[in-house]
Amino acid sequence: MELISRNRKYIFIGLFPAVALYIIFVIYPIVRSFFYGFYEWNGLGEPIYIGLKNFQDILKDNIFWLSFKNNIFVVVASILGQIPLGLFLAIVLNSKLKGAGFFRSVLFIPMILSTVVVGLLWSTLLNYQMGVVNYILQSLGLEKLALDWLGNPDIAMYTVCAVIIWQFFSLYMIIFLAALQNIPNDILEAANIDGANELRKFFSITLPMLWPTVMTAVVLCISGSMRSFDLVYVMTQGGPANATELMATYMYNKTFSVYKYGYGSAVSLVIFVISFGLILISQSLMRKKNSDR
Amino acid sequence: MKKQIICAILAISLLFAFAGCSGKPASQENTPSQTPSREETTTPAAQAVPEKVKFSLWHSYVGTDQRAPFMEARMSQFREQYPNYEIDEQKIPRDQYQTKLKTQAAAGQLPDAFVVWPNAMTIEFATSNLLADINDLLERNPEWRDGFVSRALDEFTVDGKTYSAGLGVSVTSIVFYNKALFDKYNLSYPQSYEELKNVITTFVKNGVIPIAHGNKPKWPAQSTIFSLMANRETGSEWLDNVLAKNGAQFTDPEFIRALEKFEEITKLGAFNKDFISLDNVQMRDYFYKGQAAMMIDGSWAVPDVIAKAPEDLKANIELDILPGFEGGKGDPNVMSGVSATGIAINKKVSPQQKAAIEDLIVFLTNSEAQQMYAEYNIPVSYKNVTIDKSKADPIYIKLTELISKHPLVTVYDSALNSELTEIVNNGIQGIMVGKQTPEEVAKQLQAAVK
Repeated sequence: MELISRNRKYIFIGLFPAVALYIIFVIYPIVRSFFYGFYEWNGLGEPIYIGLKNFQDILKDNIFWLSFKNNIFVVVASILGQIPLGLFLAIVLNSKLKGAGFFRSVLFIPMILSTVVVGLLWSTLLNYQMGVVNYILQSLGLEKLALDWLGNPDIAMYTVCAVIIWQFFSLYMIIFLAALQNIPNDILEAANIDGANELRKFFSITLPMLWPTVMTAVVLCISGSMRSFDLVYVMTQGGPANATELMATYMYNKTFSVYKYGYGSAVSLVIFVISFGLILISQSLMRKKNSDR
Repeated sequence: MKKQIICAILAISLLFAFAGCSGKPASQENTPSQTPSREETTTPAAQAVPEKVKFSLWHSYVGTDQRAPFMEARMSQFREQYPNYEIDEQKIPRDQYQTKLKTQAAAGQLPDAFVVWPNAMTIEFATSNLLADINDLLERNPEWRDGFVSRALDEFTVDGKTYSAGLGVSVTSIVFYNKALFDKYNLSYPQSYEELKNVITTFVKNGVIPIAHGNKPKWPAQSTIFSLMANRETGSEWLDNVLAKNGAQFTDPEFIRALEKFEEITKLGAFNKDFISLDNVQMRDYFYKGQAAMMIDGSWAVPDVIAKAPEDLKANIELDILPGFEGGKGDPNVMSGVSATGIAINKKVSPQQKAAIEDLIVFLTNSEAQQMYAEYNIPVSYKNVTIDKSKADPIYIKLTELISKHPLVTVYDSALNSELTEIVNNGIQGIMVGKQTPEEVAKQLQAAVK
């Protein structure tokens, strides 16, 4: 502590360039865009101050709330899909499996692909007419299951979530794998001597010791899903008929294809508040869990 | 050590500063001496004092755009004729063009010359005081001005000031149909809505796709089919009255009827089942393979049809318009279309730059350019262009005949502002997949009229 106060001047000087850049290029534009939320502006003429009207409109905007619902759906699907899948695969890979290194690399591939590539890849695979998925289903005699995966508004959201899970489960797999390797072997050996079976060991040792990691993963998952945009943008652009609209794609559409910059900024402010709230809630839950023990 | 580094950085930046100072005068001195031979041979007095003029140009004639090959050829001719103009040409694909341009406009950094769409977009830009008009240019070149069909200039005119001239015309609702398939099932081309329905059900019964359609980008259904269907029900004045709040509303029964008819033909199975996952280029395959009897597309599809349709099919392709609707208020003879996009001038340019860009606007639309449109299968925006029928493709000739027979009426996404366009595009898609009713869409539209 004394070291810090003695060197305060140098710390300030050292941090200054980074902080200045961050303020100019991140904080300032964010604050600035919040201001536009109180204006009506098409980007061409002068902005007109309209007070809280944009926010009132958002409250009444059905499509915004539909996109909110879809976003929550993505969050829930990601938490329930990516984390269990990642955990399961991490445990499988952590056991002394032959070729674990190979599988680890292969399973990690979706994560390193660019989202645009993943989006285009799956749009092609899931194509109603020429897609491989439907071709396989048809050749298996399951014509009834060969659906218009991204075109049918009733199932498009599920399809999009499946692709999101496919792309990101391996991130959690790697996080869990690292955490698993930190569990001391002697505890597991002691359990072996006590005659605990695998299931028992998982629920009494592995899972409790992984719990902080799981909570971190949940927070990552929430923040990641709240801002998901690119996959949906590439695959469906929020369509058909707004069925896969997310808050971020809705904001983008309002801002950059309808050119309501003011309204788009107001939407982004609302997204900010909602996401911030969700993160706060999940963090307070996490803290509670930690203090329990 | 530190000082040395700082010294080095300063020295380097000084170098750049000097380079910046000397750059411009040097190039100004150089160019006249580089090019005199060419000028003497090509041009008279106008360029006796060739002054170097630099301007930036943004356009969307690139990639699969119908005008890309024309623009490439014409621009190289332009550069040859005016060697003193230095053009920083940026080609941006159509899908991203408007977003990029409007973002640039919001930042106050528009290029010197850029492509604008007629009607709604021109009005938006002109009323925001971003464009320089070309009225005096039109005055100075009466011959050029009078050659145009009226809409090529009118649709770029706001409050008496004209801002651009269209590079041709875009007809948005051409029904390309496969005559062999109509003959096979003993059908003639429909002349009424009832006949159209009959044609659709007959084709559906026989496993032929009545109309190839791809609506993934959301605008094709509105631009190519619905705009004209709506006009058949409402007539041409109605939309202007709605937008001017002049006694008409989107919730009027005739507009709802148009939406209902669109819903009805969709439910009859007029379109291929996967219309929602295909775009307006992919849909053409159904037509080219002979699996679809009709395809409704704009004149921008004509070069593609000429290039890609198999020869045996091409002989059977006929062009027509949607039939009139019984009881509708619209003229059954009209088809939907607008002026093509044109080059507009940034208000902030210098007089020299303005003169240079005006040269470009004329160069891209004069009678010589119009002849070139025909060569590249683009519908012309001049009244009297003689088309060499021995050289032109039969489909292009059919297109010009169609245009000469049917007057054009406006397209929804050209007349509506971006917000209303978004609502009508999404609404039509919603109706097609059964997620919205015609009444809901009409209400949403009316709520957004300002």
